[in-house]
Amino acid sequence: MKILISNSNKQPIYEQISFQVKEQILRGALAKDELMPSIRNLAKELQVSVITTKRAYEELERDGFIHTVPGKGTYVAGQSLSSIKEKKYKIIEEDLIKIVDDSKMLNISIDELIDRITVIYEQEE
Amino acid sequence: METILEIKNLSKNYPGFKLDNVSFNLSKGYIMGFIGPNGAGKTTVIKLIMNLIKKSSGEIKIFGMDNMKYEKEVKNKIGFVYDDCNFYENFSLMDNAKVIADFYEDWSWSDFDNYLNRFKLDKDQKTKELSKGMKIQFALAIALSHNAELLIMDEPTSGLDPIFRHEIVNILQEYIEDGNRSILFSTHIISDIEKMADYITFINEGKLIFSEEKNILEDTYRIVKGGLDILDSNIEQECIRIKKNKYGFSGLTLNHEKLQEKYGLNIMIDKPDIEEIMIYMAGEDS
Amino acid sequence: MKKLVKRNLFLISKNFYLCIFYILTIVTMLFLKEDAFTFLVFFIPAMTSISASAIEKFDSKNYKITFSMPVIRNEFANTKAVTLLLLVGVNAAVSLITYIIAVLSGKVEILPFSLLVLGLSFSYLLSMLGGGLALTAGDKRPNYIYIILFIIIFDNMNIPSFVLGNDILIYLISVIFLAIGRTVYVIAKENILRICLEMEF
Repeated sequence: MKILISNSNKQPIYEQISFQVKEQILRGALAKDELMPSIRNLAKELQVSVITTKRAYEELERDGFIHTVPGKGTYVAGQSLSSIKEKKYKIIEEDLIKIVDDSKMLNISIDELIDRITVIYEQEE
Repeated sequence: METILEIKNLSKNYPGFKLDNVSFNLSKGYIMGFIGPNGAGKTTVIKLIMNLIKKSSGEIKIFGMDNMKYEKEVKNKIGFVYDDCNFYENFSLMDNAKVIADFYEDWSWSDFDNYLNRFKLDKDQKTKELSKGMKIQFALAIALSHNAELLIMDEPTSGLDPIFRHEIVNILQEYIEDGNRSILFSTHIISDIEKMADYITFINEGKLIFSEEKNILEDTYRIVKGGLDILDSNIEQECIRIKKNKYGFSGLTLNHEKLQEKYGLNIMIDKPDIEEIMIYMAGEDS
Repeated sequence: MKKLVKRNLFLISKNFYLCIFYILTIVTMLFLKEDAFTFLVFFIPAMTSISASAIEKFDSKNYKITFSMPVIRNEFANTKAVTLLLLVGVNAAVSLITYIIAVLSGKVEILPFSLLVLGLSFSYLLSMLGGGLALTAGDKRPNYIYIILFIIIFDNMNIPSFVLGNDILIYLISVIFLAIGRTVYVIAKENILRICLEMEF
């Protein structure tokens, strides 16, 4: 597992961690059922606070990427990559439906919407 | 979450200074950065915890026990490192340790030897021959050699070079790893504690300013910057403190979304680090 | 309490010059002709005071650390007082053994019992005085003060002739010395306790 924390990055550290872990899981770099480091061990290795890694793991668990077995440890979720992707797609689709509905209500054309999305997409890079 | 340290309405009156109604808690397994400018009252709080001075009012509970009623039981589980680590200068490290070891029920000579080796300290050396950094390392070795569950450190890194400071921070992270122990780290050099602190408690002029999860502080405080021309009462209201110079102003705020909405591109929003938050909240208006 | 006493003894043992002096004095008594009475009156208070001073020399620099450790101030103060008694007892025993050896080897004349009692009780008084002062003074006084003090005392000490030979008077004076010594001890103990309890940093 590879995690690199940037101090100059505006993104909060816990988000950087969960983002990178998610990305590796989706890419297949982290295998199904693979054992993850403990929250505390990860905090020590990355030299960040325990609450930070805790939050990252909470987010990952909430989104279904990892799961914790009490007394044993934290593992990469057993479900296949495709089903995680599927789940994420579903959430994105639901959000998209809402955005499209809202835009229609405000008379925002599809082109305007695409423009807006493009700007935001490019901004976040 | 089990609370290891509970400070409730703690006050101490001195002729020229008053520690006024300070309350905060520290849970098991976490590090608390205890920050504030010099003279803010941090050392006073620590001395009160260790019963080195008498409180004027309030309650201090450690491991659920009153720190005065159960002084011995509580102190058995506390390791301390003070800035003025005055071990007896004419004794060797070993002799100083021998005098101390008997006080603690859970003293471990093997732990002590391990730490001395790790710090490359010679146990037969006299304390007066040690540099300041080595004295702190020795104090740390002692504090860590009796199975303490709470480590209290009062400005342990002031006057030390960055390498020493980094080493100490490393050891503290190891200490915290098993989740059963906590650290109260009092300092005015915030950068030492900033990355690994779970909680930050900020004291200024004897009063508690905040005691909060560090991540939450980082999520909520922002610095808003802009030209002097747009500085109005609206901005001043939303800012905790504003600094001005010839070329613009900057203000610490909790309401950056509101300000962003109103002033859009006329202002710049930045994330402050903990040190900046302290400087804004404790510094003088410019 | 036992551990605290052990600690006090350890502190004394670490005082190199004290140990040397201890041995020297005994050797002097054993091998030179000395008056047993002045030996007792000198040796016991001097040794007790210097030992007490050795303890306090360490403690006075270490109170902040000591009281940050699991120790109850009451107990700590009382142990100091108890250690003082212990020191007097040990030094008295050592001096008596030295005296007996010296007597048996013919170096010293045997003292009349009443004078022995007088000597011991006077040294008890002086020990409490010196030891009490040492334990309440911090390390402000250097060790050798006590030696000089007690040398001066017994140099100028002359048992008036009307006392010598009057055994009843001697025992009476001894009892008075013991009583005063005990009072001094109690005062010293109270002071040590007060100092410890009131100490703030």
